[in-house]
Amino acid sequence: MKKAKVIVLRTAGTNCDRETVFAFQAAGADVDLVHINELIQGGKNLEPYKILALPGGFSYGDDIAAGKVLANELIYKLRQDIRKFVQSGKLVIGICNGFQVLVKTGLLPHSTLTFNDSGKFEDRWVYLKNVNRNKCVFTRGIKGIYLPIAHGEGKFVTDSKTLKELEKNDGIVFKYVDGKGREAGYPWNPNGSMDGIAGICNKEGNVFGMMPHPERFLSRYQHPHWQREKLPEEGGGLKIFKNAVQFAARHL
Amino acid sequence: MEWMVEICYKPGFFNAQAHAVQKDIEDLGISGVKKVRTAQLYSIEGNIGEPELKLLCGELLADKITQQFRINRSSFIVHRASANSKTEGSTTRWIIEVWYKKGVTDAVADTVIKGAVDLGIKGIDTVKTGFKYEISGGLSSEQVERICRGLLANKVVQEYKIQ
Repeated sequence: MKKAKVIVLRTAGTNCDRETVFAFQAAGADVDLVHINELIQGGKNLEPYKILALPGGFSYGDDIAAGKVLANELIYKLRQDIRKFVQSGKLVIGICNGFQVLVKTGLLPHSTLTFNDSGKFEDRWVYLKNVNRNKCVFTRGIKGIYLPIAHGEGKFVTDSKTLKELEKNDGIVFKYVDGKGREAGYPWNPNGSMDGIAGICNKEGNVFGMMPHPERFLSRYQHPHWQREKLPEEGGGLKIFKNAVQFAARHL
Repeated sequence: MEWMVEICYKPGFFNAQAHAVQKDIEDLGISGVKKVRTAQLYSIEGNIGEPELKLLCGELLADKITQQFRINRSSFIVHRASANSKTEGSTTRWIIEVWYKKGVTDAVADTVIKGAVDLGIKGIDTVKTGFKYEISGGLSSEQVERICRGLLANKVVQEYKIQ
């Protein structure tokens, strides 16, 4: 089978790009790490790629609002290319800052990510439950997952109309839960997100964004309890990348 | 043309930053603060008209869901800065603006210009960024000075104005 081609987009302030590249490589993809200026200036284009990943970090210093400036750049400089990419059913994943970018470009349903209720940067591991009914390509076969978060602006906010649409269209993917899989408040929900939402997808299921970092849990040795618990060799985050790569190889 | 843009939260949206400031004031040992409101200020100078500015605010500076913006001609703010604090009963409303001192690099301002160019707005010469705090409660002017020096402004690089 031909390897799926993945583009990981970086810019000033991106800092999880190398891990994201590694995660996709571990999942069996052929990955290019590309600076956004190469796309804008035309040296590279999105055409040969099947998966676009917007990694975590602090793009443009989180100036104005997290992800806002990169989102603005994507909409106003690469609108046609991005739209074509998404409409052809190719996959887009935004992790952490990438998720902030995706909601602010409008590629995900009308919503935003704003400052954590705690007023602090929250940096620790959280429990997630997959509530998706199989729409999201990335999370098929995942029930629950334990992943690290690291963000100051991760509070998911939307209006009641969009929330209903998200539920109807199977757009809600991950929710923050307590250790037993029940929806719970702070500290389980680290940022005060509406309905505990940690990740959403569009109604086609090919654009997905999440605040926690699956690329930081690819091996059991990255788990905080790896010496205390019996864990499988493979970290829980890898499945998300494998799902995408396998889908791309089969269907795109 | 010189403009002053103020970005604040829409009513009903939790302002985590204002909440944190209120708690930090208590931690300074100052009690009696009833409410804190914050706003981001942008002073924008250049060959830019109101329609372009509205585009800039709506697309870039304000969050479409949680925030709203207000645009003023700059002179309006200067005029208001000379006004006194408003007193209603025992509650006084203090308005504090914090800006970078002249000559200090304002990195966010540079990013605003970059974002504006991406949007196709090319006439902006200078941007300055500042913060506005509205603190209501039974505070004396000495206490407000302490809050500004201890919490809101870094006197090395920033200056503050209390109304």
